[in-house]
Amino acid sequence: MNKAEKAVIEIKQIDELADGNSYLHHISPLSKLVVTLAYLLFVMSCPKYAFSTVLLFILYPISMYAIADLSLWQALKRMRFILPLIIFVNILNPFFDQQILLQIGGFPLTGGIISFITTILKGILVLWASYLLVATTKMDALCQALRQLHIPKILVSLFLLTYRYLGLMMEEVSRMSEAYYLRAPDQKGIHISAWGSFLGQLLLRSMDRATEIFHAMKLRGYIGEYRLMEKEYPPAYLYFFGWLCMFVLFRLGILAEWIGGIFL
Amino acid sequence: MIKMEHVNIAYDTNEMVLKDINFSIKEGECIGLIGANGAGKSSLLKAMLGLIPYEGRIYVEDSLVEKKNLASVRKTLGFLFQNADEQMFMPTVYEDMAFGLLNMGLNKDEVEKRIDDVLKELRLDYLKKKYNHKLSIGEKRMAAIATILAMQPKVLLMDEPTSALDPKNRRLYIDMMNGLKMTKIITSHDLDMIYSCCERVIVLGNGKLQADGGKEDILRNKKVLEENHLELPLAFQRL
Repeated sequence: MNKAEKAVIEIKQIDELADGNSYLHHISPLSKLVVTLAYLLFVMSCPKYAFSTVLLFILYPISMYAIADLSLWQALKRMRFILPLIIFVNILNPFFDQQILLQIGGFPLTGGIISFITTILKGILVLWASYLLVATTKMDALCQALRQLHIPKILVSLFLLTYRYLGLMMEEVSRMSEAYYLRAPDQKGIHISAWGSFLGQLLLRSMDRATEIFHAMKLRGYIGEYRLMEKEYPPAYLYFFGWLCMFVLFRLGILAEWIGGIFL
Repeated sequence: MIKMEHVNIAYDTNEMVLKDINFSIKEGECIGLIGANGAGKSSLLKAMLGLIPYEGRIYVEDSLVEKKNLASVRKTLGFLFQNADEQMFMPTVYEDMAFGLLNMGLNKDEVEKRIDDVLKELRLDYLKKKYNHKLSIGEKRMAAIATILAMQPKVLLMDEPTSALDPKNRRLYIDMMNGLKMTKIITSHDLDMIYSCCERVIVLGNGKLQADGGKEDILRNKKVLEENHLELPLAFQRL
């Protein structure tokens, strides 16, 4: 199985995960979307040196992953392509910010190191929360929630179609790379001289398949808007208000101070 | 039910795929549309559905296939794609079947009922909650036909329905098609299947309608078939 094929399977597995049966899977998508957006906002707004404040936000993914029967480690593995990017963006922090902010056991911790660790933690938390949302909410339901938030119809349709076509494009990548490797068994990757024609072919083939799918959709009455099955969800006030209150407490640093006070 | 008058289909101005096609199809007929690769079989089906432009006139239940009538034409015609992967674009069979029904404006209960009825009729209940990417080609083909039948079209257009099926699934599929009492147009190179399913056969070749007649007249006519890059069905070759 080649890498592209694995990627296709991973995309499709997310759809399967979203069809689970935990408490979190049955909560209204709108509540989950708002809570996730609030979480992202609160985490990202934490100051760059506020490591202990950011660390508290880990409670949300830890508890929700346990409830949804998901693995934090699996989620990290699936986001392995984004993590190096987060590290790369912050790699220079320890070199530019040399101001010593803390001493731990005689080891000086500079502002750069703390901001580096804090930003990576923020990145991981944001990825975990986003993954939690898509792994517990079907894409159609998520789009329905976006419409409830009055996101324009065209954007929501675009989002959903992109998601559907992404799998399609990866399938084409998988087929083409398989054909390539069968005729170039000694090569580890696709040779640079073939990149141009590979990408060109990929574009043409993906467009052909996308056109066929679009035809299939038009023939079944699609006129530019996804109509979704209305589903009733039980109220999730505790989840919704509970977490929003917790996020405010985390962000204001009240809990961090209180926990810190216990140890000092 | 369907009438073609002087239909021309061209992909660009220099390349005419089909020229001056004329025929009509009565309600309840099952037509086999045969011809070599590139003869224009799929193009003709797509023109009926208004998916590609054409010259001349195509009528579906007295409605001319043109932009303003497309919605009603597409409600009358159900199209089964050659590649079931392109037909089944939602994650599960259930969602795929619901897609068209929701677009028809049906409510949740009606959608559920239609899906259950069709799956039960086709004995495919076990596929309802299955993920499309986990289905075999045979199952996918069966599920694809269910998504179309749920919309209750009056005419079923099928593009190479038995290609890539193993013999057992092919037999199941043919039995299922024969069980559907509706107007059907089937394009295929599988002439044995055409013989099993259709009463009338239309041959396309060299951009023209080469022959139109009863299945016995066409499918036993070696000369007509060979002139159009086809062969006698295997069942007749052994005789």
